[in-house]
Amino acid sequence: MEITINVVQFENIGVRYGTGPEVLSDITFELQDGSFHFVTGPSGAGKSSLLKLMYLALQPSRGLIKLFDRNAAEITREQLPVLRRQIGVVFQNFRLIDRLSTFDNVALPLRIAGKRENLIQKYVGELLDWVGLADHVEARPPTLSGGQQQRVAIARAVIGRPRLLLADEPTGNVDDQIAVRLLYLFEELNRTGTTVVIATHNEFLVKEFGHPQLHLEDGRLNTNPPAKQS
Amino acid sequence: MANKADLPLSEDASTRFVPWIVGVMAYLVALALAATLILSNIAAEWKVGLEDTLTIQVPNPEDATTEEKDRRLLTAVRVLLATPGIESARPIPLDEIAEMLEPWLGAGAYSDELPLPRVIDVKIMENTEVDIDALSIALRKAVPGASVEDHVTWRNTLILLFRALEMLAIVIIILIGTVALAAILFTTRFILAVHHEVVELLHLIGAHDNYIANQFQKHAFRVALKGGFGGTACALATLFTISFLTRDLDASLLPSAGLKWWHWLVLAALPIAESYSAMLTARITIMRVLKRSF
Repeated sequence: MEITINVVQFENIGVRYGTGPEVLSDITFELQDGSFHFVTGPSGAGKSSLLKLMYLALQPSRGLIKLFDRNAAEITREQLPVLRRQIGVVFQNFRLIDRLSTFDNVALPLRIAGKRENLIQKYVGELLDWVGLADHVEARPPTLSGGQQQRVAIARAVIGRPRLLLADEPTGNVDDQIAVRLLYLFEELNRTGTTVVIATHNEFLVKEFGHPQLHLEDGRLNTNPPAKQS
Repeated sequence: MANKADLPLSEDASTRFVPWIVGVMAYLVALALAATLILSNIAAEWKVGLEDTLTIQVPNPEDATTEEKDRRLLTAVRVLLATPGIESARPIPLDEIAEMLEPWLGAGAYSDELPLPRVIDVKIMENTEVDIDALSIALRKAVPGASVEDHVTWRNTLILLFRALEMLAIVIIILIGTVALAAILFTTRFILAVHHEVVELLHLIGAHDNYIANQFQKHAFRVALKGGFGGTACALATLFTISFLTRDLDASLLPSAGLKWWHWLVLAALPIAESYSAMLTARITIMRVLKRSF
């Protein structure tokens, strides 16, 4: 019998900031190992908060979160970095380090993980070539266009071959042609076993790739997302 | 370990003054430490130099002949050498006394007509107690007017004074060191606040506190080493200049106030000690803040 591991499991999750109202309520879902999901919903629906919960940058006000079958509330501060290295994140505002070159930004997760420099040179070089930034290895983020910065952010998120890849609007600054190309990259990663979750507004991509959706409306998960407009 | 600095710590314009602060502190610490070493040296020299010695004064009657003066001196020496615990008794020659008086009376001013007492330099055997009162009585009996000076009172007073000055210099070193470390501590916290977002990002990518702390402590070490070497080099130049300018002072009047070779080594090693202290301060600060805030 094949045993399927839940990479992400949310049970009755609620999130509130301070004493304000809940921005996420009664969120319950499971993401199986190797799955590919879109997180959709209007602005302010709680997409970014949902992803933050998944990469452990936010603690829920209530409920249970399990990552890789481990209760997130029981993960100690010392265990957290090792767990986070299994999660690749493409942040909405990229969060690149301006003083580091494209190469060093992408190499950061490998350096943090203590990989050997010769391997870092090889892997980063190959990945930058793949995302079309081979000519911008030494460029610093402020000198790159929005689309190029986004590709650097994606490369940094996938360089460590994470088990879970979370991307917050990863195609927000690129045209549809590049967006499709990036989605192919995510699918390729997904085929190697990485569970992928992409928060997006881009209905074209959601329709084009047809992966299941976690649709949020007013902080609640809607299991019946609205029909896509063509 | 961090292979490459991810945080732009050395590019912070707001912290460029730190090496200067550390430099000034290092300069003051080096001078205060040099003062401590010199004072300690003087006190030790006086303690060792005067601990096992006595000075005997043998005054002479105004109308005494040279033979009579010599006889009184010889009698006193015999009494001294017969006293248990006394290793040697050396009458100080007249020309040596004249030399000692020269700074006050001028060259050639000494003559036999001056009513000066003869002086005997006595050395006591190591770890031996001599009954000074009994010796005084025996001497006065044999040579009326002879007196014993054991230096204890003024030696102890002077040593106490030097020890107090030494303690003051140590307190100054501690105060300056504390201020320097406080500067490192507040600067570290400031830099951490400035780079809050990058630090958070490093955590999210999977960095341990140790990885982040390494970058801060390396930066603190570099900054302190830079300032420390500059400040200490200036202090050594100052000490060398003072040493050069005072080289002609009459050494017979004062105990040796110079620095020994190992004192120079201790002073030269100061920047290293300061850098490691700064590194440790930065590390403790950053680890505590990271645990509390991230």
